[in-house]
Amino acid sequence: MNSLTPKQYKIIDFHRETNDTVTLTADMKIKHEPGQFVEVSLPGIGEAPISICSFSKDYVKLNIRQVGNMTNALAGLKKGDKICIRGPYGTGYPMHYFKGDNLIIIGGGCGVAPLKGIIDYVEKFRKDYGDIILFLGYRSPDDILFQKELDEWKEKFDLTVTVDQNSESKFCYDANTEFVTEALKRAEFDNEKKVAFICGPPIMMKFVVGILKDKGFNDDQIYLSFERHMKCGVQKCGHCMINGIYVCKDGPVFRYDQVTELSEKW
Amino acid sequence: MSDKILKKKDLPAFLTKLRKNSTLIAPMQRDILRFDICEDTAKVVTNKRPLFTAKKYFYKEKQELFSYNKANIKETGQNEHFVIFGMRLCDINSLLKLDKLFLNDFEESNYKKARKNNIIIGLNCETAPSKYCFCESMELKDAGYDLFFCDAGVHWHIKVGSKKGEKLVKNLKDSYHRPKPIKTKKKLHHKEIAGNFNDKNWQEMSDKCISCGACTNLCPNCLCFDIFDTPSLALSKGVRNLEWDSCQFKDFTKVAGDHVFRETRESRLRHRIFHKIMYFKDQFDEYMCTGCGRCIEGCPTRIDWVQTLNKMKK
Amino acid sequence: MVKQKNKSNKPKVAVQSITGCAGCQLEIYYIEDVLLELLDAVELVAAPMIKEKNYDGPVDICFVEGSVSHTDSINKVKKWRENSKILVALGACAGEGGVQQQKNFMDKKKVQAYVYGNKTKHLDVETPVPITEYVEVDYYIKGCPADKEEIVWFVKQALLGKVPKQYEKPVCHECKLREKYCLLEQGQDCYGPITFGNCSVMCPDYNHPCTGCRGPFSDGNFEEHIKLLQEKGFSKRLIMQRINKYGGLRTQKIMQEAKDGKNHP
Repeated sequence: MNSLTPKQYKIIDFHRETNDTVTLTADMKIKHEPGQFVEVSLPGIGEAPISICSFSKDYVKLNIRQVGNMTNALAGLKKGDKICIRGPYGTGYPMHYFKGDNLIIIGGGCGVAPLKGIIDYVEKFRKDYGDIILFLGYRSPDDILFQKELDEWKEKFDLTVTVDQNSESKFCYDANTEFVTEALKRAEFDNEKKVAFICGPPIMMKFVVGILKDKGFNDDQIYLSFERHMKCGVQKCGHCMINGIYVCKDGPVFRYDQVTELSEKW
Repeated sequence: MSDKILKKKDLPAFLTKLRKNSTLIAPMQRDILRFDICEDTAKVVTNKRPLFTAKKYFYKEKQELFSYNKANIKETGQNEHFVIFGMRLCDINSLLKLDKLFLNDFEESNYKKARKNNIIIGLNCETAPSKYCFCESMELKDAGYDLFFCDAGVHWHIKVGSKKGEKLVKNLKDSYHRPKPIKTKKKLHHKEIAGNFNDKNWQEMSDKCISCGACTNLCPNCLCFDIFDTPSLALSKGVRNLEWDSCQFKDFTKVAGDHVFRETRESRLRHRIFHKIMYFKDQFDEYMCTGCGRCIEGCPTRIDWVQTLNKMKK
Repeated sequence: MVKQKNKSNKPKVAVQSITGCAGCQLEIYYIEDVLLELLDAVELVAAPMIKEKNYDGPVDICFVEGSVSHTDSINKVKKWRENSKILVALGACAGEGGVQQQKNFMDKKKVQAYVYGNKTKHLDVETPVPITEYVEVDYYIKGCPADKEEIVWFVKQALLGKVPKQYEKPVCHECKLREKYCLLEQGQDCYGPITFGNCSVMCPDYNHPCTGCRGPFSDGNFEEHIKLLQEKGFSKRLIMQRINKYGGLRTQKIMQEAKDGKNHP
């Protein structure tokens, strides 16, 4: 079979997450790492790379933000519908390297989705890891993803949620109205036995890297996840190249010291 | 196996025999010289090189990946057998480079089939077929062919590169000619180009670029592509297509939300050259360029990046 | 007698026309091979050229051909916009202003006098501009005339619930994929590199150079292309006439932006 040919799967769970995002679960039983992605197709509409936001051998969960034709069509599906998927692709978070470490997880907007894979992973192997500190930033209370899960995370982890604006003063997990970078700046921690994971808009990642370095983090303690248009997902089509690296194969997850030299990264 | 010899006047008969069981592709004079299906082996052109490469016979410019009916998918790849005659060493080497990406852990099966089912008969360049050729600088391998024809006066001296090739020439006599290696006037002076990323020459070169994409489409090594669906009027049915794309167009790096990562012509042109000369080499220890010079020969404004790279300081 | 079908819930389509030659609209009716299937999939509720009764209420897709060249066209296109879920500029006139927008680069009074003599009092003429000057369009089917393949393709996309993205490559890309020997190399004044593609390279296929009917390619390097054509012996005057033929208004904008350095941030 051609590596560009997807297989058919069934949607076993589907729910609306926010106004412009949905989360669907496909019965794709496949080994994967947190941070990897799949290529999701709706024949006739097209194909799009979507990161896996779960960690299970029984299914994959995909959080989809409606930004174009393909994602809009995906958002119009329902439980029981068929979709086509190929993957998983790319290099995820090498979780076994971090055994015994404290994990700082910093996500912005829909960048939280791939990070949820880490959280799911850690919950499965909780005793292997130290403290889990989450900083999750959203535009407004209405944009907060994984609200069901947040209640649990609040109990289990050190959770900080921020919203850029909260004109309706809605309750949102004790969120402050500020950029997630502000909350991070204020937080008191150093780099001792810690690894940081960042995923979000390029400008946010750039700032967060700066803040972490101010706190003493080394480049090799920071992991980030890049977004490009991974059209083929299998290191061929060339669309996702950042200088000489293929985001679809060498990434989407990179250790910061791997990419410091890349002039096209932001 | 030892090299073989064939009288030049016997070439048409030799090719006609090959044509019996499969299609023969060879350089034929049309409006210009082209790789095309050969209908008359006496008319095969051996002294010139086609501008358009033979890449499309292995990796079609627009192909069907599969057909679909709702979410049911059926692969539609076909299985063509052909003999291709007249590929130069640069073109043959480019296939070895395409192999690295198409036949990696994730195989592109249409390409794989095309690579497997064919016979490649190369043709030596006695003199460089274009003044823009610079293959001498590109570390070409003497490999990748089934047979390789070299000029030896009234004879063809035939190098044998595979078992498949061996079968085709087993009745020919041995040859003791010594074919000469290819020489090109134009050369690329290799250097660490990483330090030249911000050289002002990139801007100067790209000012001359008219964004036509000829360089990538004519390049035997370029393989970037686009994927899209073509539905039939019965909307639930259709096919998924793959079509060559070019990194020289602005929409190449466009992501959802319409952000473009390589906004300027300068960054796009530089990316292409860096990919060929540095990025690919970092990964596979060889260039993604075989020095065929078509990207210069076919460029309407003759952007000579080789000359410019030679000019750069570092 | 066959019973009248119930009001269909098929998407309603309108084909409207303002100043132009109506050639784009004809392209729709020339879709011989699948026209009946197409009309099976949608309900053509308004098409004054081929229908007597024309509905003027809300529609799903409205194709508009022609440029805004009369004052009353302004209200028409605004109404069509209001009434349509998807408004499509059909062809070069609607999308670029078309051949008649060349008037923008001439002495308007002279042009008018040349065509109508002194009998111009009854004319309420605007300088021709594309409909995009007055309304936002969801898609623009390029070409003079609009390409019927693209019309069919667009309808399919719309029926699938998509408003497709515009094709963003120059004519040259497809031309090279078809292995046409470059007409520029053959000394012709081809405008392929600065013209939007996806036209099945019909003209170069018949060895006719591209005249730019699909409008200026937004990322085209106009400055260099003009230089190239001049080097090949074509006069600046001829080149500019050709460049401005279908989409001069937008060409001027693109060239100005390039000059202002927007392409080199």
